[in-house]
Parts: sequence; C-alpha cells; structure tokens
Amino acid sequence: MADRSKRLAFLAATIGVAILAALPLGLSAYGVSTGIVYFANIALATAWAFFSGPTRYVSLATAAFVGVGMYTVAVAHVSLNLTVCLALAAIIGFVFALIVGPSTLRLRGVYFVIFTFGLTELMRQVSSWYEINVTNKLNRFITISIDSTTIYEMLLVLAAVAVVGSWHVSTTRLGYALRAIGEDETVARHTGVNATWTKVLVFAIAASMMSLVGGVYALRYPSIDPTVGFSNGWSFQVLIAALLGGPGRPWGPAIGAVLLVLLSDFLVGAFSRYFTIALGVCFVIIVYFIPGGIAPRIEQLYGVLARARQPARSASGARAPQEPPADEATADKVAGSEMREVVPRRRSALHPLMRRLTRSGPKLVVRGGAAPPPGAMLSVHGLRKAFGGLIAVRDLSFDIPAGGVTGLIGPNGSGKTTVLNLITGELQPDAGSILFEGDEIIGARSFEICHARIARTFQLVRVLPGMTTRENVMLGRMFGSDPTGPAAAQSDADTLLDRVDLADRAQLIGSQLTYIDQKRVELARALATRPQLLLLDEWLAGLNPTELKIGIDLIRTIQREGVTVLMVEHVMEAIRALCDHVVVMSAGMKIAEGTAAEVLSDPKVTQVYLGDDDAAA
Amino acid sequence: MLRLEHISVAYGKHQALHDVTVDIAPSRATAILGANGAGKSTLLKTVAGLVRPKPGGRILFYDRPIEQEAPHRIVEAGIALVPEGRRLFGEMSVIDNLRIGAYPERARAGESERLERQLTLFPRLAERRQQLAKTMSGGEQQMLAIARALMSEPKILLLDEPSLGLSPRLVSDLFSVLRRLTEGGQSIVMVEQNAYQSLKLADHVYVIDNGRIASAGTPEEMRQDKMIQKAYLGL
Repeated sequence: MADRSKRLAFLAATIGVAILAALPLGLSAYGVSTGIVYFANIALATAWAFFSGPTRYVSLATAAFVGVGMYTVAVAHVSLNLTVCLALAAIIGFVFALIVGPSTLRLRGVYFVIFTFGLTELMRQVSSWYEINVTNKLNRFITISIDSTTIYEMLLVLAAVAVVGSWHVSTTRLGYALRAIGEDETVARHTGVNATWTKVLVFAIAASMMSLVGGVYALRYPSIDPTVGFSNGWSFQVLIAALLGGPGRPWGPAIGAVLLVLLSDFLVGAFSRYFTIALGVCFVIIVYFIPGGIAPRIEQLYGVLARARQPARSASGARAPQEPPADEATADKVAGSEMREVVPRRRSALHPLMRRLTRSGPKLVVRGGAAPPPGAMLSVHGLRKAFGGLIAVRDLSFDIPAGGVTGLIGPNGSGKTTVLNLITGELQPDAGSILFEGDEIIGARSFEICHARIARTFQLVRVLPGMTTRENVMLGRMFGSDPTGPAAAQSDADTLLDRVDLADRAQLIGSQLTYIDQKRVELARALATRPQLLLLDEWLAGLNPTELKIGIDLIRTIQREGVTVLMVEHVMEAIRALCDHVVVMSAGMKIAEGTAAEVLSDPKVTQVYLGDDDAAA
Repeated sequence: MLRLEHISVAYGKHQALHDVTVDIAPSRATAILGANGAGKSTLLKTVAGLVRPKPGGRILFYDRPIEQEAPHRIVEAGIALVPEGRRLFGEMSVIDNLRIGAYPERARAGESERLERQLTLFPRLAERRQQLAKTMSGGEQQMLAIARALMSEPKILLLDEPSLGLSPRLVSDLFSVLRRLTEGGQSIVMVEQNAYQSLKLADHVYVIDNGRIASAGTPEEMRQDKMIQKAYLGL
C-alpha cells in the first residue's frame, strides 16, 4: 500500500514536471517569468528546509549563498562557458559553506540566526568595498544573452531536483541523523552520530543548491550589484515560504513557496499601497492558526479522506499502526493467563514486561569479533574533573572487570554521573586516564566512543520526543558500532522492541510514552548500538518491587549474553542482586570497593550513604 | 477539602483514568500507590489543571469546582504540585527559584518570612543560596522543588514521586522532612513507588490500578492486604 502510493506520487510528480516543462511553448512572456519566480522560490525554500527543517537551526544565510552564486556567474561568464560557470557557482557555494559552517554551527538558537544574518551583511559590505575600491564600478554587467524559456527550464530542473532529493534524503541514514540532531544533539552524538560533520555537510549541500539557483537567476538581470546579489529579501522570503508550507515535510516548503508568491501577487494587485501591511497581517493569521505549516494539514485531510473511503477496513481490521498503545485492559487480555498466575486479582498492578519474563526471545546482543580479553574491560586511573571551584571527581581509580556487572553507588552529588560523562566523552577530564580494552579513550568524541562499543542511558530519560519508538531504536543500529541502512536497522529495532515488550508501541512518538516505557526505549537504543560495555544511569529508579524484579532479570540477561555492565543505582536490592563488584563514591572520591556484601556493611558507606534506615531497600 | 468526583481522563484513545472518585481530608497525608502507567501522575496533573478531565467529572476544592481552571488559578486557590523530575528553573539561582514560588498574589505577603522558613527546613538550600539550580545534585534539586512549591503557601501540597533517584539516606531525609510538614498541619497528597516509607507516613491510602481506584483505606489495612504486600512491598 505504502509502496503503491509512493509510486503513484512519483508518477504524478513526473507528469507534473513534464507538463510544466512543456508549458513555456504556450505561455506568454509574463507566464514564463512568473514560472521562474515560482521555481526559484521552490528550490530555495526546499534547500533551506533540507538543513534547517530537521535540525531546527534557523538560517538567514540564504541570501549570502544566492549572492555567491550570482557573483560567480557574473565574474566567470566573461571568460568561461555557462555550464562551467554554473558548476563553479555550485562548488564555490559548497566550499564557502564548508568554511563558515564549522564556526557557525557551534552556535545555537538566536546566536546562529544573528550570525547567518550578519554573514549576508558582511558579504554585501565586502563586495561593495571591493567593487568601489578595486574595480571602481558598482555594477557588473551580464553580457550573456539567454532567453527566459531556458532559465525557466533550468530552474524547473533545480526545483524538481531539490524536492525529490530532499524527499529521498529524508528516508536515508543522513535524514535520520539530521532529525536526531534536531531533536537532541547530545543523544545523537552518544548514539554514534558524527553530529558536527553531518551538520556541516548538509549545510554545504543546501548552500550549493542556493548558489546554483542564484547563478541561474543572475542571468535574468542586465547587471548585478551588491544590493541585488546579497539582498536579505531572499533570506526572509525563503524562511517564510518554508514555515508557511511546513519545514517538517519534504514537499512542504515547495507548497509554501507557491502560496507565498501567489499571495504576494494577489496582494500587490488588491492593496498595492498597503501591500506590506496586508502581507504581514496574512502571516500573523497563518502563524496563529496553522503553526506547523500547511503541509501537515493537507496530510491530515488526506488521511481523513482515505479513512472515509475505506470504512470497512478500519472498522474490522487490525489496529492501524498509528494507533495509541493498547490500553491496558486489552493488553491484559493478551497476557492474562501468564499474569494471573503471578498475582491472582489485580494483574495490571504489574508491568507488562512481566509477561515476557519467562519467554526466551531472540538474543539482545549480537556479538562481533573475538571475546573480550579476561581482566579489566575498562580501567579508570587518577581521574579528576573540576567545575570551577567544585571538584566533582578527584583522583578516582577503579577497574570494570569484563563480563560482569559493576555497581557505582554513592550519595547524590558524589560525582557518579560525572564519571559516566567522562567515560562517554561528554566531558573531558582535567587529569587521569581511561583505558577501554587497553586503549586510551580520553579525547575521543562521544560518537567515537559509541563506535568503540560503549553505550549508555541517561539519568533524566532522553528519548527523542518527535521520533517514534522504532525510530529511536533504529538510530542506535544505524549509527552504532556496526552501522547499517534504515531497512536492516528497522528489523533489528523491531527485534529489540519485542524483547523489551514495546512492540505494540513501535509507532508511538517518544513524547507519548510513559516514563517507564521511555526508559525501555533508551535501553533498547543503547543495545542497538551493539555495545561491549553498557553504562546504565539509574535505569531502575522509580519502579515498584514487581517491576524491579523484571528490570533486574533483564539486566542479568543482557550480562549473560556477553555485555559488561556498569550501573549507577540507588536501589540496593538491585545492587545486591546483580553486582559482583561495587565502587562507592562520596564527594568525588572512592571510599570503598569490593563485593556488594562487603561495601554495604562498611561503616563508612552506611554513614554517608545508607543512613540508619535502609530506606530504599 | 479536595474532592474528585467521577473523573475520567484520556490521552487520545488511551484512557488513563476511569471514573475516579477521591476524597482528601485536611491536615492529613494521603498516599497514592499503583504500578507505573496506572494513572497516578495523571491524577495529580488533573488536579493541578495540567490535564483536562472528560466532561461529567468534577473537582471540588472547598466546594468550589476547579476542573476547568487554568493551572495558575489553581495555585492561586492553594494547590501546589511538585512535578515528577523536579522541573526547576535551571538557569536561576536557588533563591530566585524560591522567590518565583511565591509569585501567586495570595503568597506575596510574607514572602521573605516564608523564605526563611524554607531555608531553615532545608539547611542545604541556605548553604547554596546563589548556586544555579541546574548545577545541584539530584537530592538538592528535589528539596528545592519542594521548597519552591511551599513558597506558594499551599493548602495542599501534591508530590509526584519525590524519592525518585535519591540515595537511600536522602530518601529517609526526604520522608522526615515530609513528616515534619504533616505534623505542622500541612496537607499532602503524594504519589510514590516507595510503598514502605509511604505507608509509614500516610494517614490514608488509595491504590490505583489500571486507571481505577482499586482499594482505599488506612495504611494498617493496606499492610494486611496480600496483593499490596506482593506488588508494592516486595514481601
């Protein structure tokens, strides 16, 4: 079904483009030049949303890249043929973005917006200065003569390439990486995404398209000057078009661009003297009533129509994949028999994980390569980290034996999470070393640590809220230590989801999941990266005794299947049940180490950590 | 003082609460037990106005219906929530977080006096007055979240999993603070996974199961219940 509608859409698009390509034969000069404006805006808005849509970096640098393209053509067409000029425009735009990208993309939020706005200003000032002081002429004449129909056809091709290209990329690994970066960059890095490189690359691809459009568009003008080339109008128009259409959908910006040009044309005719005001009022109305853009609304409408066409199917058939989680009553019916044995009356006081307790599922972990060497898998030595005056970790040394479960316990604020952050490259230590299977990993970036086969979960759960359960887990598989494409990742993700009993919630988006389900998604995502060492940060917090037992069994299974585990935990029952080796921290230092029984009976530990009353046992 | 009548809540198709009726008496500690996903947090959020019940249910606070009130109006009426996961203003200092807590008009008079009271109740916060909330440890953050809620001088304090992520010793500390509050006459409604401590503190207990009130009674009655023992006390 999905495949058929995809093919249909593709067919319709091809026919549409073919008709549009043939149109100039019958169009007036006005018609052709309107088409040029439409296509240029579609290509630019799509290119803008290609980067800014998923990553949510709002760029106002469109005009800078358009200007670079215009100037490349204006300068080069004197001596080179047009094709070479346009290729140059694309390359220079790409390289320019590669140069400004790494510094710009460190900025977030409003700083990024201002920097990109400033970039256009800078380019305009520099080009003005150059033209005035070096060439002594503000205008560069375009001497090539080319008819509008050719420009029309070129921009049509660019618009089609932009839309199809960005639609295609959204289904690839790169597309998932971009979305993950937009949702939560830290998680993306810890799941193996090289976020910096991905952002710069995509920023540069989008810039290259913008410069190419600028290069073609320049051919319409008799001459180029800095105010035409680097006009901020482009940046804002493109931004508005993309937001109007909906930057979250590949074809949203294109619709937005068409509507924006239509609207502008209509308003110029109807309220010529108050054009800007009228346009502004329209935007306010649009943003207020359809904040997500038009594209999602159209999809909704399409969904409603499709459902209306097939009433029998949805009424009788299986659950539609988008449906919210089986409500617990239904879930209980499925699992009823197993649950009843455990607790006769109120079965759903138990967590659904219970149902899978005895079931032997597929292996959680696929091990590649040789078994780890005996002895320490991870060796921390002399580790120190200070935040200003506060020393969070001081002179900490401990080993994590391969194949076991090591517990890291201590009072809140004793530096346990900081240790995890130091191991995963989220923080860099001030001193010390961390050897993973004999290799120093200090200085490695988070995504490299993930590739080295260390995975983690987060203390405050960090499920990507706008991606589905399945997509969250797929990310781990696609970017982890043994990366694959989306199709293979999906089947592996489903296997893992089945194992943590989230299969019926695979299509729910992260923000719809309950707290405990989010924790399970995080665990599945971490396992999907195929770790040798799994770091759990209070993964068992907030469970009732029954759920706790299930959680403990799950960790035990993971360990039996060959993953070494380091768990930060306050639940003493879990520490006693799982850990063969426990490290106790207080105020950044190690105060005890040994078996669970040893450390928990240590008077020092009792005093700073357990208190008189073994409260959370 | 607080009464929920026939409250039902749904998230899309997922029904979180079914026809729940609960009575909260003044100057008492009420504990709500239940599995994860049973609807406990939803119940608190509904009282706080963060989630809307389906038509037909009513929430009466001193006989005044509040089920359609905006969350800030509910705080103004005297109900304060300490949300799950603390939800502090991370970039603000301890003191500023507390001051924000006294934002309701009703709570503005006597703000500085109440601030002193919180700093006495939580000496750790006094030591860390100027520290940014996000740089504090989990336990300190939880104390701050409770203190911030108390700054609005609530008639009822709602606590959503206050012991989550706290070390055993801090859990005891937390419950002794809560005990001091109740002994001082503060009404408390709390959702907790730590059934052992909750039953020690509470005067009255509700068990929610699958969105419905499954049982209610005194902690003593609950401790006798075989199912409660098994599911919540791990006996």
